[in-house]
Amino acid sequence: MNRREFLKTAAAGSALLALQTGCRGGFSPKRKLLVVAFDGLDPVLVRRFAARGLMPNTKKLMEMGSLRNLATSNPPQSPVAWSGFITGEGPDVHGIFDFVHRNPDNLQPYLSTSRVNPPEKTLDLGNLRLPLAGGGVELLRKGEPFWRNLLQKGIPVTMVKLPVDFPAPQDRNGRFLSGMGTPDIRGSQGSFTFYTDDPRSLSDDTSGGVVIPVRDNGDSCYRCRIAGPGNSLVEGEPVMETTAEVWADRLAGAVRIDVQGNSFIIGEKQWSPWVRFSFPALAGISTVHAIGRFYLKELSPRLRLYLSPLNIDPENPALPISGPSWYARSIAEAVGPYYTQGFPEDTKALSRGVFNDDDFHSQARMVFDERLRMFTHALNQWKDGLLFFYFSSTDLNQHMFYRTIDPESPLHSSTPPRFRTIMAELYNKADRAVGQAMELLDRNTELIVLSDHGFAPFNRGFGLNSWLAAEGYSHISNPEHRNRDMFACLDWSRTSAYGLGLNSLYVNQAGREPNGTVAPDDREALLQRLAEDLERVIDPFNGRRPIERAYIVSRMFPGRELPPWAPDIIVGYSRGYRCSWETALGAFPEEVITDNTDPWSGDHCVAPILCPGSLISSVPMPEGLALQDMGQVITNMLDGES
Amino acid sequence: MTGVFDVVLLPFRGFAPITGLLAVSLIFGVFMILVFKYTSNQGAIGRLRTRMGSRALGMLLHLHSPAAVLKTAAALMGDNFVYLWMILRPMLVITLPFIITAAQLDARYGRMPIPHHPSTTITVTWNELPDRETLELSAGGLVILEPVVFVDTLMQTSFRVRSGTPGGFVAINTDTFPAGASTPGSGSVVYRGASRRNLPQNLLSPFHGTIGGGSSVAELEIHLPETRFAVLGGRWSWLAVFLAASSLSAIAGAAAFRVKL
Repeated sequence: MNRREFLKTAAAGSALLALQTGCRGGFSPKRKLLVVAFDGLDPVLVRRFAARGLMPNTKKLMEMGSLRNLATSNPPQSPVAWSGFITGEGPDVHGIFDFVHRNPDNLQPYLSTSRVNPPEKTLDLGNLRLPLAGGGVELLRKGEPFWRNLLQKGIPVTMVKLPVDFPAPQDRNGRFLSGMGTPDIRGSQGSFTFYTDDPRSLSDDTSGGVVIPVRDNGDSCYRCRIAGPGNSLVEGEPVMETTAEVWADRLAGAVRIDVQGNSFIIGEKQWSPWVRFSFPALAGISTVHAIGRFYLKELSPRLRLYLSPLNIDPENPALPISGPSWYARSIAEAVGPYYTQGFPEDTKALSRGVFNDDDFHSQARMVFDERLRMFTHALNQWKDGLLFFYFSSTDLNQHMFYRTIDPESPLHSSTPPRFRTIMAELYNKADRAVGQAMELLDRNTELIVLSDHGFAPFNRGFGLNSWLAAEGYSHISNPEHRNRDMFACLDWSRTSAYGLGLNSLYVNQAGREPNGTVAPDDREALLQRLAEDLERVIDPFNGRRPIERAYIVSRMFPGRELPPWAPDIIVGYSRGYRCSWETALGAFPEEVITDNTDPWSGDHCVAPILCPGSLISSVPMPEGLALQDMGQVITNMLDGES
Repeated sequence: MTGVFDVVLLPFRGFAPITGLLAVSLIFGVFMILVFKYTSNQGAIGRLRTRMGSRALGMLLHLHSPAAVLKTAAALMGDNFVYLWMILRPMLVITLPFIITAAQLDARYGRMPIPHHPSTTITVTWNELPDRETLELSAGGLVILEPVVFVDTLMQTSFRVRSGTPGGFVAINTDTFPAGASTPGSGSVVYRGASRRNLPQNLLSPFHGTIGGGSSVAELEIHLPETRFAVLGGRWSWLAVFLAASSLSAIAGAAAFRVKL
């Protein structure tokens, strides 16, 4: 019996044992189980805020059952962790090792969780390309989801906003709404548009969104071009567009926006309601529907108008965001339009300076409130079986506001003091959702609150690629291109290792990489040397070790044949550290370790032992459970036969 | 015309709005089929259909002979053009009643009354833009939200309104014939705006308000949310419900009245 099998058996047995000795009488198969998932809910902070009386419901739930650290995945990234939760397996089986994978044939990075495949056959009529066969969206996560077993036994399953679940499963008798990994209408993970007549705001940086210059031609009207998706029915996939007319009244401090027959007014610092957009792909036959929200950041002296990423319209979804297909629409009919993209909080807008802290906070609060309305609706609709509901707000708010509780953050002193309580407010809001869930507890209903990982400060960025170059593992032939992405400065013929993604390090292996230099026989020795060297690095600024542990992947899964996109080393950073922003996309800045001055000040891409998730439940749970075991625990709780 | 529709809808006043919409659709379907029967040459249509059937059979029998198949297909296509010519007259006769009925139904079932949330934008186009400082706005049952936006170049003022009661709705209507209560999807007649009007405009949008010649207001536009009807698990516009129900009714009517289509 290997370690994983042992863990699973022990977890299931322990959970059953715990249930049998539960405080409300002997064990009986539970017909209703509510699993509330808060991404990134940190057990240390839960204990701290509960002790201060800020999480009274959670404290009560802990007293009823237990609060445990929940072991996370390696690396502790959400796609990896939630894939483990869904399948009960590790990356060797589900195939997700990082947010970003690289194609070993050309080293191009791609999103690890899903991809769009073009049609295999088309009927070409002029410049029209009508799909005949094949094509569609493909979920790249492998493995068997735990709920399939429940559905086969007739136990209803509802999973709302489940991560790494796009396109949504279409299992009979299940209801699924895709969460993290669901793209916006343009196929990205969220791309905002910012319209301004301030030339200082313009930039070539397109990460997370685009800044579009607009001008008032003397009629107080800014004509703002809104880019929709590419038209896959036309050769070359031209971008479908529409135009919004923004009529400015500077005396009133407000604008009227006319777009596609809709007209609405927003004042400065106000959000529009959800606005519907239609992009006709083939007149009268195929139209792509989207929704978005405007935010008037400023009108005087300069126009600064933000448009959210265009989300897939849940009432007319262009892509399979729910199973069955009507499920997304039924939620929208009950609670109104909602964010369908996987990462609703616009962290990029804050990192790029398009938002300030107040702007981001207002947007993040809106997202959380919207999700709470969906939560209330889901609770009201839930009759039987398993209900899983996921909140992203705890994760993305902690990413952006961890600096408010960490005095060592380079941005702590420059963050306005009014934000110092924001983390407590966040956990308090999560606690209110827990309280709402606890109202449903009865003899046949149990509650589990869990998270995929905890959180850690991100104060110093480790330039993995810069370190590899400094240590002679790679060679820079074009120093003037050091800051360009995708290894633009690298001499591949003198490179033995490179970093891409948040925790991944790859050997430049002959026969696998296009310009591989390391013979397969030399690989193990190189990996051993790399791991030892990485763990010996010292930050000259403070004498700390940036890397807690470097995990050689082939040794994590002995005897398993790993897919070609698997990294060779997973770098487990120490608390306070993470890979630098530049390293993630293959750049080589001069300095190896630098201060992180991005508002993204909290992270969890550290060694997994440093950021376990939380497991709070209405029945006592044993120590030592991992998120990967929870599918089995849930199955056991709902199905006494397992 | 409005009076005719008021009478037709009177029995459905106390019911859900879709009942009135379905009733009109079913009546219109039967009306269409009767118009078709009495304005078309039924004998000729019957003979043409028989001929088209025999040509289709002939194609199947001569599949081994491409030349015969092509010849019969060409003849069949010619028959189709003859059929289109035969139904032209009934179609022309039906066009005007269809437009009038669609305009009435659109006015009654197309838009929701003003809800509490989200707010509704009203745009007033003026003959002479009023003074920003002295303009006063008021509307019974409605809350007017700040700010009021002036668009000088278009001579327009825009503002947001909402129902004064959370969960409540306000219909700006004629008070002549509400086909149901003022609730979302009720089918009550709601004004979408007002302007100076002529006869064709009154026919095509019968419940649009009329502005007198001496008014300082040139036009009023209310951006009301669209009404959707829940049918068979979907949310459909009045037009989709009308087309589907009237088509079904016409097909049933054709069987009942022995109409050759």
